[in-house]
Amino acid sequence: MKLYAQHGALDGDKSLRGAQQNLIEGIIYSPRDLTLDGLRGKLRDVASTCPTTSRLFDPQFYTCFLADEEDARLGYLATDYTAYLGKRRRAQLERESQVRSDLESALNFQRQLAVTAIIAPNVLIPRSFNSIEAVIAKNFIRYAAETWSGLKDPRELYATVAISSQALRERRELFEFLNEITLLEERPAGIYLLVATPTADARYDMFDPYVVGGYMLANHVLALNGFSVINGYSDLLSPFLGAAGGAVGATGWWSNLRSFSLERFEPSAGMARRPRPRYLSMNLLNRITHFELHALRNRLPGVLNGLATDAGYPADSGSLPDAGAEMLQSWEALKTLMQRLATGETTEALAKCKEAVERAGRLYDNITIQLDQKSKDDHLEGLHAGLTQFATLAEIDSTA
Amino acid sequence: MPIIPPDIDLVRQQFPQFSDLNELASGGFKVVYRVETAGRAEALKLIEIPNDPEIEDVEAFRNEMFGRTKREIEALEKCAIPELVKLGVLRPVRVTLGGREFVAYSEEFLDGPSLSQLIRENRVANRPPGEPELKMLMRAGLKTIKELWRNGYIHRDIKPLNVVKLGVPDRRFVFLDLGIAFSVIESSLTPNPAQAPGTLPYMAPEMFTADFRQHVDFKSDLYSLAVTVYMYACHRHPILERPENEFQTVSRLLRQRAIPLRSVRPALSAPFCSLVDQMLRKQPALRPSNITAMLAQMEEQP
Repeated sequence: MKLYAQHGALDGDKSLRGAQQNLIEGIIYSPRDLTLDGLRGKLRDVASTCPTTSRLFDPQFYTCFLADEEDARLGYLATDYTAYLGKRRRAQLERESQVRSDLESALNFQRQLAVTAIIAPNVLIPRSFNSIEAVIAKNFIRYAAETWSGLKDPRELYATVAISSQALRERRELFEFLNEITLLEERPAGIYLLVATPTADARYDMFDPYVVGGYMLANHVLALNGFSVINGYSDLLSPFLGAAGGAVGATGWWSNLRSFSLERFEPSAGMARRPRPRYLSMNLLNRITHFELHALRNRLPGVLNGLATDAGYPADSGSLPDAGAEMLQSWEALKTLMQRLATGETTEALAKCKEAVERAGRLYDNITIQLDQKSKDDHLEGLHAGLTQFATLAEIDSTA
Repeated sequence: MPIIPPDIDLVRQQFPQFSDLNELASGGFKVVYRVETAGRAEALKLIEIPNDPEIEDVEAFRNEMFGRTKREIEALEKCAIPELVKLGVLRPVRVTLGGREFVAYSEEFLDGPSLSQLIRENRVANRPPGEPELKMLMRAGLKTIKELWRNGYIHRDIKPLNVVKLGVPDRRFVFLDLGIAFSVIESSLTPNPAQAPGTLPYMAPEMFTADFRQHVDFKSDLYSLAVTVYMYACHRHPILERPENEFQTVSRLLRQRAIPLRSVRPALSAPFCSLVDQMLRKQPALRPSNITAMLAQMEEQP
């Protein structure tokens, strides 16, 4: 499994450094956060300095229903990317001709970019697979490969499948939806899979057993049927999705780049706060604050990863990371975790994932300090139950 | 109750183009004869169209029988591949024999044992087929399913009895009997939408759902093919161990997982066993869908 950077606001040189240090193998750019000229410049820089790094562009077409909304936070999408993105109403997209036309515009736009593969546009399935949005989304998926093959470009195409975590809980409909994708006559090379949470910081939602199980199932079914699955914004779930068959996981530097939500694009409800620097502990399967790291690193060395980027959290500075060190540490830890857990046959990888969750539980049992809410172990129960759910759904004998 | 074959002399009189009539098999509403025509053997099929007023909604039943025969012929005309039985000289014709109504047509005569016969013989001789043979069967089945689906059909009755092994190297296994084929394009022939015709032990789990017509696709045939390959490999069903009543059988097919092929035939390669096991998943979404890739995999393996 590979790790990509999920690009967002205030990139600076974070993603470039990640690529140069071989911590990430690709970058998924966010047009909301980059001018078109800026995007072209970044693509050029990465292509020249890290030619093996994959360069992708998420057209963020799922914001189309917000495009005319006052105060929507669409950034440069509203000014620099109107060649393919504008306000759409649901009724408009119910017409096949509109879907085809939007596909053509978005794919033609990307053809002009120095990306290594193309991501087709799509809308979000917000509540249920049994909805108008789901029909629209299926049409985008159905016609994506056909439209792309008409453009005679050798680069691989990824169809976007954006599903709300709520829809993911409907098992029967999820199975039917996935089955329909596997029956596509003209198939894209892969799927850019996004699972949307109600808010950008919906930790409880992402670690809900139904969501974990369904998310892994989607990866498993798609991979089983020959699709390469790029999981956008998958962050800590990436190794688990890789165990189920996913090809790529992605994460970025802000919390809104670590889980996917339209909230990031909607009118703001309040002021954003600068997050506290955190350290991703592979053994805890979680991030802890630098204060907590400092308090625990000598008492409980198991929380440390023992990787090169640990040096960015010097003990003599209260474990406060240097500027830019947090993201590199996060990528290195996640990449290593993916290499450890997402390998081998599904049954074998699943066993490794379960063992990692149980080991994290044992390590948490030895922590005696009061942890910040997000640093606590409440994600483990959902992960463990999610793994069991996945095994049941995928008809895998996880006891073997 | 099985069909009572019509008087053979009446059949001979009705079809003078055929000679050397020999009854091969009969069951349900069908009787099959081996016949000679223009120096080669064919299989003459007679399907009785009942007209008994005692049968509930006999008109609907007759329409279904006519419709099925028509569909079978059309499907065989469209799907002319070596892995599927070929049509013979007699195209469907309605005939009356001894006051009973039949539809008659002919197919090529496949001179070889059925897979069910081979399974019985191999079981007695304790002689399971090797992997190359199983792959040949798998390849033929996959090509058949692919071609049928390309034309909008699902076979729905893939089972050892409907596969014949020939002595011809480039045409080792041939699939037949599209009598209950399902069309995803045409309207349904069975009046009751919840009723799925088929042979229970080979039916995919989704065929037992009331709205199967809305969702069914070629993956149901993949399941039946996997059961067939499994039975040929192991001389046993992957799930069912002994004859049980219909309710228990369906319950097992819906809930009980298949025994992994490799645990019964450890000498077979892991990728081959894994493919068969995956095709036996209860959920269609969990079965592989890319037949072209599966065929390539069959070629690649040692």
